Amino acid sequence: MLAEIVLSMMAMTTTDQTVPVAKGTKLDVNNFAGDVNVKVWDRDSVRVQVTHSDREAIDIRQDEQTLRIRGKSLRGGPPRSLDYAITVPGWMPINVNGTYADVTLEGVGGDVAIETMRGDIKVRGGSGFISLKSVQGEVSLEKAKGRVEVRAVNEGMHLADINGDLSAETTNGSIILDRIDSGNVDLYTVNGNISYDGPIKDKGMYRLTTHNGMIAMPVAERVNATLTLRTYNGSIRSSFQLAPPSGDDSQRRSKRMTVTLGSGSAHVELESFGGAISLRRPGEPRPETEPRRRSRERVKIDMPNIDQIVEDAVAGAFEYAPFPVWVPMPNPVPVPVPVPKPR
Amino acid sequence: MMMAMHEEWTDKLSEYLDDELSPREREAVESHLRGCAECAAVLDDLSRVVDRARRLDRRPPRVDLWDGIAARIDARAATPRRVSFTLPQLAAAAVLLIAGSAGVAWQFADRSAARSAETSRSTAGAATQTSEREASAERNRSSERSMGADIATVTFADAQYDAAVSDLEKALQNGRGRLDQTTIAIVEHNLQIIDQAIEQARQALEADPANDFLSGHLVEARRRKLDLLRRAAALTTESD
Repeated sequence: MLAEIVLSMMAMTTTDQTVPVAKGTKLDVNNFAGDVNVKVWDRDSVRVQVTHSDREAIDIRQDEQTLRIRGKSLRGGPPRSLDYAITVPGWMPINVNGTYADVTLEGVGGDVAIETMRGDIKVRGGSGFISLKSVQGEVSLEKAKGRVEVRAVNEGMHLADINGDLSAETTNGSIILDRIDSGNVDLYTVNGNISYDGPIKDKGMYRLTTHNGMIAMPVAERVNATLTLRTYNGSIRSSFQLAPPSGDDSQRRSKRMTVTLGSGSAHVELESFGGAISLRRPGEPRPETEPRRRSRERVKIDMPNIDQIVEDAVAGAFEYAPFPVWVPMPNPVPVPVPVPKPR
Repeated sequence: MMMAMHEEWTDKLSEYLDDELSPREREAVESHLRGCAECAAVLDDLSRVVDRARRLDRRPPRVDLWDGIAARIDARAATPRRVSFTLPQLAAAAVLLIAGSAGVAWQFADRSAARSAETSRSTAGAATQTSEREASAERNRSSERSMGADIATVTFADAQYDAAVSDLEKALQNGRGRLDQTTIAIVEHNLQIIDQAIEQARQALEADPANDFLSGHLVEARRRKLDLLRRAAALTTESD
C-alpha cells in the first residue's frame, strides 16, 4: 500500500531513444534489477525503451566500439527496478550484467555474454562465443552456434539446438540437452541429472559427470566411440545389448565398464558417484526429462524435491531398459539429504 | 553510485598488487585506499592469497602430463579465445595444480594402462568389453615399470588447499554484509551440497583407496568448492 502511494506520487516518464551504430559495435547493458529484453531488427541502430520515474535517468553512451546503457538514480544508490526493451541489429555482440535481473534475448546473432546474480537467462540465437552465468536462476539457450559456456549454481539448465563446443556446469540442478551437434562436450553437476541428446562424432570428446544424479545418453548403432562408464553407488543400464554376454562378472562388481564401438575414435566418459548411467538408442524415450517437465509445471508453487526427481528418473529409465547390465546393492555410503532451495 | 565507484577501484586492485599501474594510477589507488576501509580490506584479502600462493612448494608432476595437455589444447585450438585471470584465480589455480596433480597422475596412469590393455586385445570394428579390474592390475604393473612405484594416493589433508579455502571463506565472511540474506542462503546451501559430495567421496575412498575414479571425483568436487567460494567472494565486491 505504502509503495503504491509512493509510486503514485512519482512522475513517470519513458525513455525511447534510437542510436545508429556502426558494424562491430558491442552493446553493453548493466541493469541492477528488472528485465532486459532484447530483440533484433534489420536496421543498423539500437532502440532503447524503458519506463522509469523522474528519480532515475537512463545513460546511453557510445564510443567507437561499445554502446553502453546504464540506469542511474538521481538521488544516489542503485536505481529502482528498470525494465528495458532493446532492439538491436542481428549482428551485434551483446553483453548484459545484472544483480537482480531477468535477461531474455530473442534471435540475436553475435557473441553473447550475460551474467546475473539472481535472475533467469533465456537466449535464442547467438554465434561465436556465448557465455551465460547465473547464481540463482534457470538458464535456457536455444539455436546457438560457436563456443558455449554456461554456469549456474542453484538451478538447472536447458540447452537445445547447439552447434559447437559446449561446456556447462551447475551445483544444484539438472542439465538437459536437446539436439546437440558437438564434438567437444563437458558437463558437470553436483546434485542433478544430465540428459544428453545428440550424435557422437568421430574423434569427439564427451565428458558428463554428476555426483548425485543419473546420466542418460543416446548411442547410435553405428558409432566409433570408446565408452568409459563409471559409477560408485549406482548402476549401468542400457536399452540395447551393450556387449556380448560374458561369464566374467568382474565388471558388474566394479561398476565400471569400458566398451569400444567401431574404431573407438570418440571418447565418451560418463561418471556418476551415486546415480545410474543409462544408454539408449537415438529416438527412444527420455524418461529422465519428465521430472523436469513436471517440476516446471509446478514451479512457483512448490520447490522441486531433488531426491524425488532423481528417484523418478531412475525408475523411469529402468522401465525403458530391458537389458540390465547389473543391479547393484548400494554400498554403505550416505545418500545426501536435500535441503529445500532458498528463494 | 557507490557500486560503480567500488567496481572501478576493486578492478584495479589486482593490477595494483602486480605493480602494473602507471605511477599516476598507482597514486590514485593509494589515495583511495587511505579513505576507503572496504577496498583496503579487499586488498588485504588479495595480498594474503597471493602471498600464500607465492610460498607454495614447486612440485613437479609425477608423470609427464604434457601429451594429454597438448592434445586438449589441440582439440580446443579451433576456437581460440583470450583468457585472463585475476590474482585470486591464479592463486587458486596454483593451489589446485598441486592438489590435482596426484589425481591427474592417477587418471593418466589409469587411462594409458587401460588403453594399452585394450590395444593388446586388438578388437577394432567389433564391440568389445574390457574389464577395468584387469586393466587396474595391468595399470599397477605398468605404473611400477614406468614410474618406479612412485605414485601415491591423493592426499586428502592438503594443508595448502585447506588454507586457500579458509582464506576464501574468510573473504566471503567479511563481505557477507554486502550480500542479501537470500543470496547468502543460496551460497551456503550450495557449499553444503558440495561439502556433502566431498565427504561422501572421501569416505568412499577411505573404503577403497586404490579407486582412481573416486580420487578423480574427489579432486573434481574440491575444485568445484574452490570455484564456488571464489565466485561468491567476488559477488561481495560486485555488490558494493
